[in-house]
Amino acid sequence: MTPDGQALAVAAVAALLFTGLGAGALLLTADRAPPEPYEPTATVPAGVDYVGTVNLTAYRSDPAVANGSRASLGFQSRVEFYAGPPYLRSLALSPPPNASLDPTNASRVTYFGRSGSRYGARLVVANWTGEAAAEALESRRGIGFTPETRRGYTVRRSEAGAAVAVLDNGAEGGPVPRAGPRLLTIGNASAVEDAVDVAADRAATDAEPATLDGDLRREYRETSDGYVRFAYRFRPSTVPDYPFVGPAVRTIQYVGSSYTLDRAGTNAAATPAVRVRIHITSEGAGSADDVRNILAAGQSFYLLQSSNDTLKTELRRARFNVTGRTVVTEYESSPAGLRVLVRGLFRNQPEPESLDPPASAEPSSSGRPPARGPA
Amino acid sequence: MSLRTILRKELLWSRHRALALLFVLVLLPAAFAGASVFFQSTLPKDAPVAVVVEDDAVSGAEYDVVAASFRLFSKPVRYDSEARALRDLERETVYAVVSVPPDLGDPAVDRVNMTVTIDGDMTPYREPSGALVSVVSATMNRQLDTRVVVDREVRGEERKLASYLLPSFLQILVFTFAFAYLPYNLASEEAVLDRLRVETSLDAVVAGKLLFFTGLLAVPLLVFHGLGLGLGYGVNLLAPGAILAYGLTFLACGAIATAVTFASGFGTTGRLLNVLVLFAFLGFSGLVYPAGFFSPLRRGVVRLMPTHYAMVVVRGTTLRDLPPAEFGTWLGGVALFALAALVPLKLAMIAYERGT
Repeated sequence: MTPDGQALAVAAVAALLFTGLGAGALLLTADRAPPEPYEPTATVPAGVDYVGTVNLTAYRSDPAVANGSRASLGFQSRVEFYAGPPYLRSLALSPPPNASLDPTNASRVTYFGRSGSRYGARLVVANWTGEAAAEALESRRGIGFTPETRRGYTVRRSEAGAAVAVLDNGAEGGPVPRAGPRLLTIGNASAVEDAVDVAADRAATDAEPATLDGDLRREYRETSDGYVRFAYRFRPSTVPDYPFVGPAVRTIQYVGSSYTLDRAGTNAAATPAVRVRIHITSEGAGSADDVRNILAAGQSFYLLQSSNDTLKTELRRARFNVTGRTVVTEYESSPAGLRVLVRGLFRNQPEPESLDPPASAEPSSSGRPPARGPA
Repeated sequence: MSLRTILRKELLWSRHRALALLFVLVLLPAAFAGASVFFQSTLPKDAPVAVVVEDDAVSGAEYDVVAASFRLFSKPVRYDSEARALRDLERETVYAVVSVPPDLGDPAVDRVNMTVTIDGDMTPYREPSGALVSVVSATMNRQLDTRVVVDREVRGEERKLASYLLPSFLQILVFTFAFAYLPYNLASEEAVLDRLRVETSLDAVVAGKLLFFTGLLAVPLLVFHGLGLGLGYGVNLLAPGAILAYGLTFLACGAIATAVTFASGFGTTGRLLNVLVLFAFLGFSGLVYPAGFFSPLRRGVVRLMPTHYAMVVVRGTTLRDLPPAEFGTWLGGVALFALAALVPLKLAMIAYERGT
């Protein structure tokens, strides 16, 4: 073979090789379905009274947004009209950072639990290991965790009632459909075990997971989008008597909220406004009208008494619409004014049984004291 | 005859009267059960109240606060003139007049007086209005820095329930006369009607009967009036406006009842249907309670019923001694309703004549 022929043969072999490699790579990538988006409620057990998710990436995108959202949610959680789902109080709870656990690494947290019960946990998407999470809790509470195996998952339990389990170790194919972040559940042992069972059933092909369903799931889905979404079953026993409209308020059955960021009209550096949309589902259209009237009265009182012009402008834009038996409340505010706005809008509701700020050492549903940031 | 035979006879009888049984056993119960949706609350939560500003110093926010406070228990309606609001109070378009005082939002002012005026003749609203005022007062004082004293002012005599009900009971009698006795009388004279048609028209026969029965109403009217005088109720049932309203109501309802009677061929179904219509008029004419007493739905229906306005005219002229001219438009409306009721009557009579 001439040198030219040899060079041509080498080039042909190289071309064939590269073509083969390229085709193989193409085939491999073509066969793999694109990763499904993470469904935060897919691992939430059935039979819970509340479920809520916070997209921490958006939440932390602006310090003012984080502070405003936390304050607003904290206020709503203490107002008995909203039955004060304990998970919102625990929004301010977080394992302390340590060498192997960085709270700012968490990208999403999902809360679930039952009202008036210690049953509750959170599902955290983060690059945390189970050991690191348990160590963080040990250093905070001075409690020890003992690993146990449940349906192939390691559940670290403490005698104090808290538990930690990793539901997805970061490998592809788990509830979080991409390599990297893990899905952990942290909270009350019963709730953690139920979440483990749901994850195990999801992994098994022949088992039907008993996950979030029914009206609560529908209410959650109706929140549609937002960096904060929550829905809960209302507990009427917490509302005191209120002349004429008390029965209407007690007929509230479900509440769902979503917080979205509105960057319209602002440059990238500016703090976005927070748009809040709340669904309050009552027993009937008549009671929904009463709920709307209560909220509208609160708006009128606040407009009369407030001396803050910015707040007044925001209050005037608040809307309360009744659709069937659902009141849809919409308002938008700068993060700084959000807490005050929410307080004003709900001031005419039945007197809450307690508006005291939660005690600094108040335990969460998982039995832990409060800390600074979410997740 | 054995029990079995009797039961079989009853079954056969039922087959022959399937339509009447269907009406009594299905339609009537369904209508009554369905009517229950119109009754949602036992307090006048949706009664219209006029909200009027006392003077130009009242801000929009102050007005909104008062309106919002009442909206929890009433249907506030904005009025620009107190005189017009008070006139509508007499005409039962609204059941209270709320005067919004200035300075509600002024933190420098310690105390503000607000007046809620009701009509003393509107007896069923008097006690609930007291509860409403106290709740509104508590709500406003809880929310506002300024102390708000809500005074309830009663216009006119605080009429007792017994005398308030006298005109209503007479209206109930008018309805019953039209929908129960008149159809019964027509049915009993069915055979005579055919003979009379030989000598005159059916139109004349029916018109004569309606006019005669309208005239007969003078007797119960005098009985009610006499008893009212004897019991010292202070109700003038012989007020011209009231007599006109009662008469027009009877003509309208009598025409409807007669139309149903002819359309049903003087049958039992027609009489039962008339009973159903009677209940509808009794339930939705606002004879006793204010519109909006039981539900906004019922308020809407009541406000559509011409007989409700006839009742308001009767109360206005008998209890408050208002001149009939005050209700000229409404009386005209009731007269138009009576005329309109003659249309189905004529159609039913044509169908009857063709059928016989």
